[in-house]
Amino acid sequence: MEASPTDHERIKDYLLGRIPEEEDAEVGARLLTDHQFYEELSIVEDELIDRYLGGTLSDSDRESFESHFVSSYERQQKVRFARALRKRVSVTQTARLVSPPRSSFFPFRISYAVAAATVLIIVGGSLLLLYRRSLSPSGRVLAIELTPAPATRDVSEVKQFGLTPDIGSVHLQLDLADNEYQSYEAVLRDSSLRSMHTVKNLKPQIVNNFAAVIVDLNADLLSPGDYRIQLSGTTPDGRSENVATYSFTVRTR
Amino acid sequence: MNKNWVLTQELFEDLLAWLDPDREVAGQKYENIRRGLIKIFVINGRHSVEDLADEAINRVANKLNQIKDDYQGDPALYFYGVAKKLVHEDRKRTRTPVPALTWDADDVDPEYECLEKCLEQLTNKNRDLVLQYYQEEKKAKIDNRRVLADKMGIALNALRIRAYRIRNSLEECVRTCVMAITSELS
Repeated sequence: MEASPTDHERIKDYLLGRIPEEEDAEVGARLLTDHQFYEELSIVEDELIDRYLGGTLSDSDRESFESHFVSSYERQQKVRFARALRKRVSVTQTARLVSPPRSSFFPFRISYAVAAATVLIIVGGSLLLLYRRSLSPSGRVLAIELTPAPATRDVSEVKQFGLTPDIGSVHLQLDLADNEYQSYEAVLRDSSLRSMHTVKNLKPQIVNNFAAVIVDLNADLLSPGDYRIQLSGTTPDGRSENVATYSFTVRTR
Repeated sequence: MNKNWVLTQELFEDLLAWLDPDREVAGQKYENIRRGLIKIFVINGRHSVEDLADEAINRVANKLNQIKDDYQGDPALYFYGVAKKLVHEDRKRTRTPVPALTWDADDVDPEYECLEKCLEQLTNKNRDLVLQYYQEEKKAKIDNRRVLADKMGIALNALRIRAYRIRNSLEECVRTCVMAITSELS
């Protein structure tokens, strides 16, 4: 059974404690009688947790998730498991980029394609770095990749880097979970959320097959401390919509 | 909770007979009801959910002689009514909120260690599937899953269910492993 989008929304609302009492009874009773429904609900439950950890839940869903969904010990265990799985999957994903996979899911010729792409990325990346160095008379370029910050990310997961005196600028790659806008605006904020620098009209780029926004910052802007980049997308009618927040820490030199 | 109520074999047989005349079908219905009860208690933020599910079943079994002749409809719905009553009772009894979800500051958490062990217990095919299925985010994730489903020659939803079942078994394994580690430490 594949749930219709309406069913999917209803299950989500049920899991987030947002449906009226009479509907709650209907869904609850169905859990006891309909095996396929039980399975579908469990899948939606896992997907909600994954989206929470990925930082892709809407504000209202995240609020319900934190106030209702994880209010039991069992649910917290599920979230901890999902977090471990997420971490393990990202290790596999990184390893797959470094060495071509031997998995039975990918044919021999795709392995070669991945290897060729990897070589191209490395060579291209090196050339880009050399090019950037030549453009940057004030010093070396430090390239950093940032992923959107989930609400509960702990300190150990925030990207940290040091800025040695020879670094002139920082090349930040902000990975996009979903590329929905033609242009973006990035606001750099310090630990007290004071706006320090704004870059407008940023165009999304494809890096290693994934969408990202690139922001180059002068290293002089960044003294040791915690920073956030608030990324918003610009709609065709000129409105600004919040997309994601990226956190990083500049360590003491 | 009244832990003195015990489900005797005789009561259990009566319960199965009430669920369905075919004992095998009744057994399946019983499993589905118990599993569903546990989920309902979890969704309602209860603790000791397995105990609560057993309590609900015991209460129904103990009421069976009074209700089975006149009860109309799916017996499972009667269980639901008892479960809701238990949720209310349990809310009154335990008012201490669960502490907010926080991560262990230590990078190597027991879940991760256990996950590595549990992944080893999967077949290569299932391990590859689960590690590939949950890769990427949003658009790239959808594309990745479509490629996987095509490769396996199954529909996207069939893949989704297959991945869920492997994840579910992994989660059970990790839960048991973490409990063992925790009890060793205490």
